[in-house]
Amino acid sequence: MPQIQIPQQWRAKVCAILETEATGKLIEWTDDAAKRFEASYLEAWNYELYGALRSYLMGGNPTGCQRTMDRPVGETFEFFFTFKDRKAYGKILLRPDGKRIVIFSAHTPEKEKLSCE
Amino acid sequence: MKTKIGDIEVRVPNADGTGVAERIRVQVPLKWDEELGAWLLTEEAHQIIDETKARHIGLISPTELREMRLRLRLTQREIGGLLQVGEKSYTRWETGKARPSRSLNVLLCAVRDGRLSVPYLQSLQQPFVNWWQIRLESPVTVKTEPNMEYGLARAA
Repeated sequence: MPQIQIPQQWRAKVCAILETEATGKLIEWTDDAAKRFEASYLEAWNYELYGALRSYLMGGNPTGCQRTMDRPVGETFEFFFTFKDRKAYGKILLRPDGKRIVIFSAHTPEKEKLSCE
Repeated sequence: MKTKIGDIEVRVPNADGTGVAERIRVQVPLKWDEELGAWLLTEEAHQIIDETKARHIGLISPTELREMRLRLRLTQREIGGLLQVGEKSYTRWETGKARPSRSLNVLLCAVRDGRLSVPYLQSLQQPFVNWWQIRLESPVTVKTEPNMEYGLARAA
């Protein structure tokens, strides 16, 4: 199955949350995501990542795969984007309240393709 | 809410950013999210990671920046103007929302340590070629003599 266009509503909410830069409050990171981010990028700061994610999600035609899971509830998308001039892999959950996100992944890709491809 | 202390390895880049200069293991507070079935980093955890990295890179801290600015009796707008980075960028550094680059950090350290003075930074905001302005304000008429050597050569 090919990648789909990431819905505008999801993108708008996620970008608004990223813009707050409220790390640890509105923007939550899993332990695993933080470790992989640290391991992938030297001298990268969270706010730089948020800018790169927003650039991709607000750009022309952002595509990705929706991850459907029983738990956690909410909408999760995974996608490739560019960070520090390199291809990066991101996986983000928008919580059901639409006010918080969880970063599951933000690191250098381990696979060539996304899960739905 | 279930909490615990977890380990995270902070990697400090070398001066040109091409390799790892140092690996530091820090302990950070984590909170358990029942819904996700995963450990999440707390706000404090992120602060610990960022501050560890910044300190080991040698970046000037937000507190030091504030102290320096107050010592120089400057507003955030004024110092942002003197450093030619703008008020917004400077304010983000001072509030810890962003970090200066390594090259700007060198400049900030020079100001903090009194190696660069405020009058000097102010002088950099003036046009570089002051002599040119003076000439424009009082133009000088230059008399020219015919180039006889050239003229003779042409005539020959």
